[in-house]
Amino acid sequence: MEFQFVITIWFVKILTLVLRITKKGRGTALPGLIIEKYFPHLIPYILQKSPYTILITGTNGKTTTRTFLSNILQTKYKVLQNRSGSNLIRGIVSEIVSQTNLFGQLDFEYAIFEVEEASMPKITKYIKPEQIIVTNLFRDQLDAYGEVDRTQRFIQQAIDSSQNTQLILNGDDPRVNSMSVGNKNNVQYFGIKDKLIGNFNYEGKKSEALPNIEFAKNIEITNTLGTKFKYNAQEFHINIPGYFNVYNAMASILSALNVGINIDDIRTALTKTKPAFGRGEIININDKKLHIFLVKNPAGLNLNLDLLKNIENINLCLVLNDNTADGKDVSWIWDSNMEILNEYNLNSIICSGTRSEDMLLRCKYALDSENFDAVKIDEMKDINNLLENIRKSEENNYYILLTYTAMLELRKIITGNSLNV
Amino acid sequence: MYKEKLSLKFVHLYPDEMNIYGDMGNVLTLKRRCEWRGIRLEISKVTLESNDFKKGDIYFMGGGQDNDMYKVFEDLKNSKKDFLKEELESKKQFLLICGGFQLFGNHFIDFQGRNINGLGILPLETKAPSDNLHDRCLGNIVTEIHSKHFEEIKNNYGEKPSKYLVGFENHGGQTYYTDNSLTPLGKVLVGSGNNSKEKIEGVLHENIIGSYMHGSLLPKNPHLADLIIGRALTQKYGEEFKLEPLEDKIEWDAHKAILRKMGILNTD
Repeated sequence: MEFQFVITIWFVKILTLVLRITKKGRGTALPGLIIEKYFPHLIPYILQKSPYTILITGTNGKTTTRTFLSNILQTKYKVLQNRSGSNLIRGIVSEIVSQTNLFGQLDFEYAIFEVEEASMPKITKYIKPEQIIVTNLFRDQLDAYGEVDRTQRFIQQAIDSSQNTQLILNGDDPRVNSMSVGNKNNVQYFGIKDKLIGNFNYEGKKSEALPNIEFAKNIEITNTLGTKFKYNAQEFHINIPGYFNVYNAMASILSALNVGINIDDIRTALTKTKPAFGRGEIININDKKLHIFLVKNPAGLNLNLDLLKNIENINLCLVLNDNTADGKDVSWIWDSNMEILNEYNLNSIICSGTRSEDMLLRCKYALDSENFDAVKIDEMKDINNLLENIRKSEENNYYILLTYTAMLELRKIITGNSLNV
Repeated sequence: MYKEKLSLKFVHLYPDEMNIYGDMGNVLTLKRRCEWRGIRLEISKVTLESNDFKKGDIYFMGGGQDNDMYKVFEDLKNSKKDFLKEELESKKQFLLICGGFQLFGNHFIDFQGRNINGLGILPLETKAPSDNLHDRCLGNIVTEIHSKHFEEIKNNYGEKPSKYLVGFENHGGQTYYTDNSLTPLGKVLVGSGNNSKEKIEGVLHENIIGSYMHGSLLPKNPHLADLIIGRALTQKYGEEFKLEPLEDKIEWDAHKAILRKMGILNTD
């Protein structure tokens, strides 16, 4: 098997190179695609190569949690990780194959993979993870994933089939904290003890007080939209915009402590972590700052809209695409609390994307008549036009909330490269 | 604006369970379209295990996850069935989306073969063949409003409305009428509708509108939203309260964008 594996690695590396040079194939998942198509029987063997493995799943916050945790672990160890958007089996296989050297060796001490919820049971069939982190379970792209109950079943299956796995679960989310019931894994919970909890619309009945729950307290939003919080009487500071990232930070802290990293190194690494791809990152064009926030479901849109509500004279761009990766069903914008825009101090709103008309309509019904009449509100379908408009304007800051493919498109226009950098 | 102070009562049936995707948009649309005309829309709800609820002029139930539907159905059958039947007979307006539509029929048989008897108000039954996402009726949907209903919709809306309805469907259940007393809401031009065979969508039967269309249904179909408001006003205040027209450019732009996207209207 090992010999066949090494030969395959050679073959895949050469084929990937040829396809990339001839521009016949692109994307980080290319090696995984080749394996899936020509050597599917090797998938279990490849996945079993993974070292000490931490899997991160849940509807929101996977990428930010992975980013935090890998930054922490990298202070001491070599860490293998997949990239945002490559979170199916194929992406993980790709990552392992790409990082395996020509002698078939994978020189990493830890692997951190973010995994799309429905792929969890497929992955745990072959990888026995040392830790599983579940961030939360909100309603997410029903056209692609089906009901939330269904998604919950997938993660539960994966947890039940893993033995001796340390579970790190969101203790505030009833759908998630119940996942430890009836299985023999060790479990730790994270949560927040703060009035902000009211902004998280977790589904299900609030649970009784949990044992082993670690809370973040005294959450404060900084003027750059970062967050300070206290855990265990120590202060932590994260610079990635969004107080919801406190949950992701807490999950990373618990996980890193399990690995044996000391708390001071964790704190430093958390503070240094920059936003992942589209998670509150700032892109400069000309002299303007574009603040980019990926939104893909009502929970994410609500939390991001809540975060931005105190910005004076805000210029807001709402970009809604309906490609497969965004979800073809845009009904979810009607489940979001866009009525919060009535509390905003708005300068302008621009609606854009393949479903810009739907977004404009949503704004019309969200805003009270006097607010709708008072705000400058435009619709420009094409993201190129949106950017052109921003370039020409006299405003310096734009806050752009956008769906996944809109983010790739925007990034490609600005940097010439849609991939993670 | 009307000279008199008008108001309508809206009752949301099981908003916590039956709200699967975008159904809140229907509530908001009725609320705003009343408000813009100076009509007060009082919103109340019917919840599980509570018998403390008010009567309404418009009743609405959305879609739910399978497990929630069982709970809701038990509750309906045990304590609210007779009340809803009385309200139907006194010509109150009902809008039922997806799961709500299914529960008003005779039977719902889920993918595991579990049979739930419906309220038996609409002669139809629904069967879900599997839990597989590939077997679902899923995607954008465009229908042409049944000619039997279009005249009323046109007269009620005032200006010349679209003859289409646009939305998004996502359902495993295949619904068939069990007798020929029902008329569909629309004829399917793009998508599946009630089932993947007959090319008909929903039902408009007396004062009940049932449909599989999310999207949400009402925001991008203002003529249908106004039909419900118009009928409820007439029912409560009499014929002289004709609906006042609204400026609906943004609504029709969004409606037409789907018609173009799905190839019903030419792109130009």
